Amino acid sequence: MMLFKLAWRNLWRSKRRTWITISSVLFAVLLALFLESMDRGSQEVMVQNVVRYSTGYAQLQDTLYFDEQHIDNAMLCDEDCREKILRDFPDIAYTVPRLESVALAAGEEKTRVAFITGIDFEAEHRFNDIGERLREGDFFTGGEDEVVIGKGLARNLDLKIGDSLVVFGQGFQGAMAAGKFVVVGLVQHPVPDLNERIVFMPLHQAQWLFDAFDRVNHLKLVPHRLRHHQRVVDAINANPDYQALQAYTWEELQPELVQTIEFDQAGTLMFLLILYVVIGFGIFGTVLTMTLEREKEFGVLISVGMQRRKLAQVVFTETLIMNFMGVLLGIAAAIPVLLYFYYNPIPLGEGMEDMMAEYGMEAVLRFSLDPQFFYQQAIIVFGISMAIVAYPVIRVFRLDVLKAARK
Amino acid sequence: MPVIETNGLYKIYNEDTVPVYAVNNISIQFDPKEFTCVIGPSGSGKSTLLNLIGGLDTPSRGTVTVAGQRIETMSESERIRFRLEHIGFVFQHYNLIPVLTAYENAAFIMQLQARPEEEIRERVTGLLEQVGLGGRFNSRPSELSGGEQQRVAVVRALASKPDFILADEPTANLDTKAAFNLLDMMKQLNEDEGITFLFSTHDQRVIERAGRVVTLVDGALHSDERKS
Repeated sequence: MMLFKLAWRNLWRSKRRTWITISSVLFAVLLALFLESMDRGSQEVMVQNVVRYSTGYAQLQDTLYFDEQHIDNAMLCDEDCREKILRDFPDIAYTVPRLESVALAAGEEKTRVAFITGIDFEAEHRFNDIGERLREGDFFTGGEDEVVIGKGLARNLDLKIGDSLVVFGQGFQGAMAAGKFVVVGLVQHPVPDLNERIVFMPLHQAQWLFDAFDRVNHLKLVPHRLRHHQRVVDAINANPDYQALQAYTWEELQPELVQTIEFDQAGTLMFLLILYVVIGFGIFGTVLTMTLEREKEFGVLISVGMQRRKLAQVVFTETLIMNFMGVLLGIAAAIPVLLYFYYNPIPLGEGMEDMMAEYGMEAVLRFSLDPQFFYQQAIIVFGISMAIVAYPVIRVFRLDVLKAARK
Repeated sequence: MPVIETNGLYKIYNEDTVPVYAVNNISIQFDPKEFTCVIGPSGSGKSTLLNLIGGLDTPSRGTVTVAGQRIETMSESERIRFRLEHIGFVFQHYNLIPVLTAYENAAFIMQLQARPEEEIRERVTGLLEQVGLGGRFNSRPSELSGGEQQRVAVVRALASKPDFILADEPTANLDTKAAFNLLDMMKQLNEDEGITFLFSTHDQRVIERAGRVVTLVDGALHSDERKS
């Protein structure tokens, strides 16, 4: 208790210096959190945009499908199967089925390779708001043989609402897949390549086309909390009832996206490292001054019988208190700032809006409030500050008592 | 049995090149309850001798026995512990801890010794009142005069009842009145508490009150005079 009292009082013998040190830690935490929040926010948006129109956060497939993504490896999963999955894994909010295959699609005069996608529109729309991407017509009217196609494909095939689209390809296990459909809607798909190829049709219709009744290529698994996707995947893969199937996370299905994020993180890490170094030297400066100014006092304390270990404890406690206060105040200062930017993202400027909208993205710089990086950054800055305390502690242990006491 | 005893004590700097004898073959004893001054011109080795006796420095040769224990053979940690338990220090510049009050400074050594709070309170309160600082318990060093600070320093050194007190020029920074007050107080404590005092000093006022005056010249013992 006496040592703590001594440390506490020592802190306030030079209030200004103590506050400068605390402020250094505070701003380090604040800036680190700001940068990390901005980085994570943009990554979350990137993941959200990419994942929701492609693989989903987690996906269930036949065990053979991952290596050979062919309709022959589509899995059997009807409505009952989807409901059983929801019962077996309560972390899953709903599932989004898809039956996909490549086929030739022809208008009156032109033919293109198309990506035929059978969807459960309600589930699909719930997951990725695909209905919002509709630019003309309807997303199925309930009639027979209806398709909704990408605007790019419609342009390439000179098709408009009400025109016929002929599809010709290969179905399940070599069956012929051929059909004539009516274009009832045009979508602006946010993925440019898909916009040139996508043909949406109701799931049951695609199953009929490809002769793949009750089959889907994969089921997107949407957890109640998106960040629990790994938990969902682990639970399914550990369940013996699902041995014929395999669940994957989006990280496993989209390694390129993971690499892009890692590259992005590396850039932010460089900024953070520079920040850590600058702040670290700032803190070191004040700790150095504090130490050198008090060497005589240290010498006297050791002379009168204070063990170096105890003196080091006092010095350590002083820095610990300062750093702890700095980190706590830094987090306290960061919370309202990040909350503000979370609810009021920074606009990227008018020029970006149209371009970003084409990709289904908002032209804003989003911030994240993921609690994980709060404590990560706080721990890193705290760790750096505590590493600096090694200097006065070493100094105490190496102090020449006679020289110090004579100062 | 002497409280302090040195035998063939040397402190030699630059022993391998041009040796400088800061302390040169000093063998001396100090008995309990003595009030002794070590005097001599600057550079005569007074402070070095006190540092060796206090275990703050290690001799080049010879032995230092304090309270029956050889301290030159102890590890640094053992010497620190030994100083805490057996030796009180009074410095020329008082060297109180600026962030602690007079009472806390005076109690500091006893707290390091982990003595019971009640014992500390009783002892420190009594001593501070005895040296005329009864109303200044809560004053910080910066709020005390030089004389008052040195009295707190003496109480700090004395409170734990060490075997002896080493005082390095304790009156050097005090005016005449404060110096006399301090000396009277230390003399009184020497008689009341029976604690040995060993001073290094240039101050004639201290020398006049000492019961024994040891004179050093060039690191060697020049004279050892006991007053009747």
